[in-house]
Amino acid sequence: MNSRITLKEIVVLAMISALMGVVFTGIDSIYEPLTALAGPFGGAIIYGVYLISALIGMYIVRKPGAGLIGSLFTGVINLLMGSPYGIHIIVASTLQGLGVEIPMFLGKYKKFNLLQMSIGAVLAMILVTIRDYFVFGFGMYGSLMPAIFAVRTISSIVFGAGLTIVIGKALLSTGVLNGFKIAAKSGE
Amino acid sequence: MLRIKDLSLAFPEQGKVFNNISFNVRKNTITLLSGNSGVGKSSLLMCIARVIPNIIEGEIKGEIIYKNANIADKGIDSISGSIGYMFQDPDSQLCSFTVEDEIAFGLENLNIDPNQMDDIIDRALDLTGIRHLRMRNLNQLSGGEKQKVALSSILALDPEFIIMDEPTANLDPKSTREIVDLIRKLRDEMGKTILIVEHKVKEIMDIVDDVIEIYEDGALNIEKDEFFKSYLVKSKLPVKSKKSLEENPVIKVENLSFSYDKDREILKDINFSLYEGEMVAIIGPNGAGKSTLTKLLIGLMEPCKGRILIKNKDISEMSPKDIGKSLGLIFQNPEHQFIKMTVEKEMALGLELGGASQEEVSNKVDYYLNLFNLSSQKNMNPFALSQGQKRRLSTASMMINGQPILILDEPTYGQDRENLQELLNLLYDINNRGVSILMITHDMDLVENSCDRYIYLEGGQVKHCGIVDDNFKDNLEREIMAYEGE
Amino acid sequence: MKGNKDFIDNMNPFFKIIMLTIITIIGSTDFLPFVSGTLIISGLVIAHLFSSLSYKEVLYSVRAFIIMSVGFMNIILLTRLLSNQDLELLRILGLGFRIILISIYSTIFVKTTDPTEFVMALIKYFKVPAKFGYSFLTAYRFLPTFKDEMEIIKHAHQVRGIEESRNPLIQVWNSKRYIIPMLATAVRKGIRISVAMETRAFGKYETRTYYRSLSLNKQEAIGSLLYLLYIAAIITVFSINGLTNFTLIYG
Ligand SMILES: Nc1ncnc2c1ncn2[C@@H]1O[C@H](COP(=O)(O)OP(=O)(O)OP(=O)(O)O)[C@@H](O)[C@H]1O
Ligand SMILES: Nc1ncnc2c1ncn2[C@@H]1O[C@H](COP(=O)(O)OP(=O)(O)OP(=O)(O)O)[C@@H](O)[C@H]1O
Ligand SMILES: [Mg+2]
Ligand SMILES: [Mg+2]
Repeated sequence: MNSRITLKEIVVLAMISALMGVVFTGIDSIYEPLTALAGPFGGAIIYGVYLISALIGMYIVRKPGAGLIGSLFTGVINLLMGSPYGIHIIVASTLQGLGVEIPMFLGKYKKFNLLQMSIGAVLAMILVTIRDYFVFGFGMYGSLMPAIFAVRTISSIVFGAGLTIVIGKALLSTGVLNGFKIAAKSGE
Repeated sequence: MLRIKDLSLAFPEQGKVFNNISFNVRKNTITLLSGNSGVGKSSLLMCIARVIPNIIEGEIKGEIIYKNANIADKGIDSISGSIGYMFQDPDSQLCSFTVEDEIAFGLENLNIDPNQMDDIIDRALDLTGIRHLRMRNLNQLSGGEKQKVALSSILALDPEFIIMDEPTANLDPKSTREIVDLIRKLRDEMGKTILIVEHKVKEIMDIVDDVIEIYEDGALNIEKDEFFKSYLVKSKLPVKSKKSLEENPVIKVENLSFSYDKDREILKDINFSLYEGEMVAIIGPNGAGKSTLTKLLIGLMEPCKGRILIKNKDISEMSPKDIGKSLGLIFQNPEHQFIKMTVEKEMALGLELGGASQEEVSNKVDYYLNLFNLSSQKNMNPFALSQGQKRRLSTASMMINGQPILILDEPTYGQDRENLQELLNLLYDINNRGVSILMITHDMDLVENSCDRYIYLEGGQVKHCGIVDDNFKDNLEREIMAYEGE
Repeated sequence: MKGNKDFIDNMNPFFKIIMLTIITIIGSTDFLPFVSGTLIISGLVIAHLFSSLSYKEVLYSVRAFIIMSVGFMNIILLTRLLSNQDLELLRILGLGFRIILISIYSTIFVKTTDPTEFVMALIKYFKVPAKFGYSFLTAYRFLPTFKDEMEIIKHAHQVRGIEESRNPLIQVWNSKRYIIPMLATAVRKGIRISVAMETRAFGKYETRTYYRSLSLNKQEAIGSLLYLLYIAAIITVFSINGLTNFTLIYG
């Protein structure tokens, strides 16, 4: 199969991003009670969910750039939905997309198992966390930082990579993904 | 103009769809493509538009000869601009934000000089009679208006050949007539050739030149008069004897008002009742507020004013689950209620949650699968079904639970007459056993044959209601005329 | 340039994107609250004078972020209090203001910019390929549809007797139940739209023309430049008085 990304794939990536934009606003309502309950850990616990939009695009399309494109679309959508991070969200999206893209690139876009996806998710998380450290006062948490980092890692694997794979597989069984690379069952 | 020769199609997973189809479409005619739900009509149109296999994977064998060239192995760009393709879902064929941008989109792709575009856009909008919508936002249009925009955007490119997949599904009778008139105009005044799939045979039979019937193993060019004659006989809907049962109200709507936002009231002071054992139709133009009403009845949204009683209990005091126990709603879009990943499990869900035994569940599910003509799809994913199959599944999975009240939002759309007859017989059957039914539909034949009463909703108000008798259609016409004349 | 109420609304998105980028950079590198505080107020005033937005509208649409930023400041304060570190009130205030600053300018940007023109600007000035621009536009139009759909699906599941867990983590995991049907619809819509685009000759030729023309207007350029000078002046004045602290590394 051709490894250049097609118009169909781009539109679908954009649609998924828009949908995820909406779902995230829904998830924010869970975020708040969680923060109330677990303080700074609250955000970290469901951190992984926010990686899904970069991961799911890559998981379905399985071509170079899919993760980055999906992630950037989500970023621009969030920007237009009035994100408080402004242009920053684009920086975060780029980092996230790159994080997902790197391990897939190294694996020549052939492997998409839980391990590979988890590496992508964790890498994306690390890159964004570094940005948070510089810009959003992550360092201000002081001694809690390593613990938050650990929670974010677990969340990236469970709610990022894990949930993406479960959703991707279920979506595949609906038949709407026939004609995407995921349906060719490459790399599992 | 177009010749299909021994065309076969198979999808990678589902297997073969149709085999050895051959037929011709003559220049400057309207050809109706007919066939049972799920036989592959939509897929065939996609083959002609080169969507299969270019965008959707599928294995095609045979020849598609368009203007003396075989396009069966060519890409989309070989025909884009020359063959226009309009499909059923008005929402998913628009790709910009405003009406004029949408029409301009195709022109831009063909590198037309922007200075000429204004004229072309106006002309394309005039053809469908929607010039007044030119600056409007696509999101704020009704389904019928969106269909007209889609058609205008295709006409702007001036294609010679236009294929249409159920262009009037979901449209009210008036918009349907308008689209049908428009199709006639395309042939008579503009010299276009049209290939159309349409379940509303009665509405378009006057303008059709040729009829082609598709079967799994071939296609037949049928004599059109014969086809229509036998169609009218075969498609007679079963008639239910009318009852008058105005005793125990099961749903009572009192002074109901609702608006999505402050600007516009969608429902204004609605009052009506559904009595036990009745079958009542809610009719009215697109955008009248019918689906909104169902969302209120099921408790998805809260009314701004007034209240809704189900069996004398205010639904604002009931949990969604309790509402679900007494009332089954079949949504306008069947996909909104699919939960499980196979047809069989989807059917079983309600029974399982209700605590039925394994054996009971499997017996009942098999029975209903059979009844709804879905047995061979039982291991398929609900989302992979054809339009009509989905509709039947959502209806079946609600009916199997046996709630005492059933609300159906356009149960007939996308159905062929045979399936429709089956569905009606089933509804009559449960209705006889005491289930009260509220049905939203644009099909006046259906109302005439099956409902005891009707409620006519327009602009968010109950404009008229009454019993359905032999004079129903005349009465309705007179009433509506009276309102339009106001 | 007198109190023209549509000036910002009609402005070429190019200028607005530049402005938002500069504000974001300033906001996220200075971590004292003074410059951001001043820019918050001037942003509100400018929006009030030169756009169709009123103070109330802008503040109302960022209310969630103001609350969030206050919460954020409290949490950091609390953790620092608990772990016995310096409170550094000013820096924490700076951090909170930074969120408000960026969100106010983002809101003004979003509310005054037509998405189609935004995408046109991306294509024209930032050389984003048309494929991406139009794909984005199409998807963006579906946001309200997706919102409604999510409500309907959630409710449909409840009515059918599916109960939502009380545990928020299980809720997150189970959200796939309604994400999957929505994704299926979204993917299918996406495929159909790409069909509609390609059958209308999108991508058939290397080039395409544009019906809407965007041009860089002189008055708008001057207006933007004046505001940039104003920002520069503020930063200079505050810097001289030691009221700024620009650095990339925080903490
Ligand atoms: N992309 C696809 N992949 C696999 N199978 C498909 C796909 N699209 C349709 N099918 C299957 O092919 C068959 C024909 O579907 P199609 O939509 O063409 O039917 P139809 O004649 O248009 O039916 P209806 O009148 O109900 O719309 C159906 O059984 C359907 O389940
Ligand atoms: N979520 C929403 N937000 C705002 N307005 C809406 C929303 N949903 C529907 N509307 C508007 O409410 C009006 C009634 O819509 P509704 O879907 O109830 O009409 P309907 O009678 O079911 O039409 P149809 O016959 O086309 O299905 C329409 O004008 C529509 O544009
Ligand atoms: Mg069809
Ligand atoms: Mg409706």
